[in-house]
Amino acid sequence: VESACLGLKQILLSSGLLAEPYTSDEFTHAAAAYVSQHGSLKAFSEYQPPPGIFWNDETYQGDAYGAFAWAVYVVVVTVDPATCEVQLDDFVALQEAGKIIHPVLAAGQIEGGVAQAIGYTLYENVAWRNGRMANAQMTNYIMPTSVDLPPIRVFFEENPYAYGPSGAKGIGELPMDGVAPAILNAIEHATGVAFNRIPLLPETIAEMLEQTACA
Amino acid sequence: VRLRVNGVEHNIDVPPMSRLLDVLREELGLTGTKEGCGEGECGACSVLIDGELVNACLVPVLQADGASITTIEGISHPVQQAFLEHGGAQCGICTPGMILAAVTLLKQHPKPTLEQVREGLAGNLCRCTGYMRIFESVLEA
Repeated sequence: VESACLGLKQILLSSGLLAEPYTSDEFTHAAAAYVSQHGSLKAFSEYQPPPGIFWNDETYQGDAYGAFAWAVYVVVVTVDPATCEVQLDDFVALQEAGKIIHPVLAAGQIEGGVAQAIGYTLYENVAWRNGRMANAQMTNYIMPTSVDLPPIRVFFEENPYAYGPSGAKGIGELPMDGVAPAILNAIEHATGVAFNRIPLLPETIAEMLEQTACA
Repeated sequence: VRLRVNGVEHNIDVPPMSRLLDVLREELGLTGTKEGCGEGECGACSVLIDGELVNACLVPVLQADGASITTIEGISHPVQQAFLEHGGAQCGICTPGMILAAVTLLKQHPKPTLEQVREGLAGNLCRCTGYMRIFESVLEA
């Protein structure tokens, strides 16, 4: 995108309609003038992988990505021994995603991902019946509301990626991956029982705790 | 039915059991009010009827006959600017309903605690922000 935008700028500069330095209004007017003269203003750019990264589109083999984001997720839980309800008391995400371009939106993406992953771990049970979802309603497919979530505190460790736009890396997917293991580990720490499936509903915890107690 | 919507009188000829939500969106073109679940669980279609926060998907329009209705198009409140600055809106589907719930909450509690904000917005589901920025927006409004 960055390279295509630079291409647009280059076209306007070499057409003589725009000269540096320019304001955003001047850019808009030059673009409008170019479109009225030529019908359209277009620049094409194709993704160029960083050096040493090879991907074969025919065989679908190689390195699809030049870099990955990294994160640490820490959660504090309370497990009610009577009801086996899990309450999350605090959640901290330490996130590395290259250079953070817009800290407010970036933190919002992480918080949203964490919230969704908390639902995925503790509440969101898809009940299948004859190949159809039997609980496809918000009344019985339970997702977190504003009162269910712990504080979600996001911290960034910035480590600019040389081949990303302005040093950025992708940010969206990771909070969906690391949260469930963190919560299950915390529940294991609290109860002494290891759980390995999600959503981990109170009834499953109760069953497992009973079995362990009897054994 | 006769509706006063955002201060403007309308006489609308619609089947009496039409959902208020559909009348607002389709008859009056006020598409700021969103349909989420359509069953009163998510709060995306929140509007004010005579100042009360309700889910427009659950209201047959005849029940609103003669009432004064406020939709997101009729709201001008500092909390909207706070949503912009603090990242309270992401994908935007819950935002109109969240704003109406926030305005109602701030009317009841002009300086709400975090607990009051959590409680006051509990009828409005958000799938993509994780709520934290919405809380911040309402607290800072």
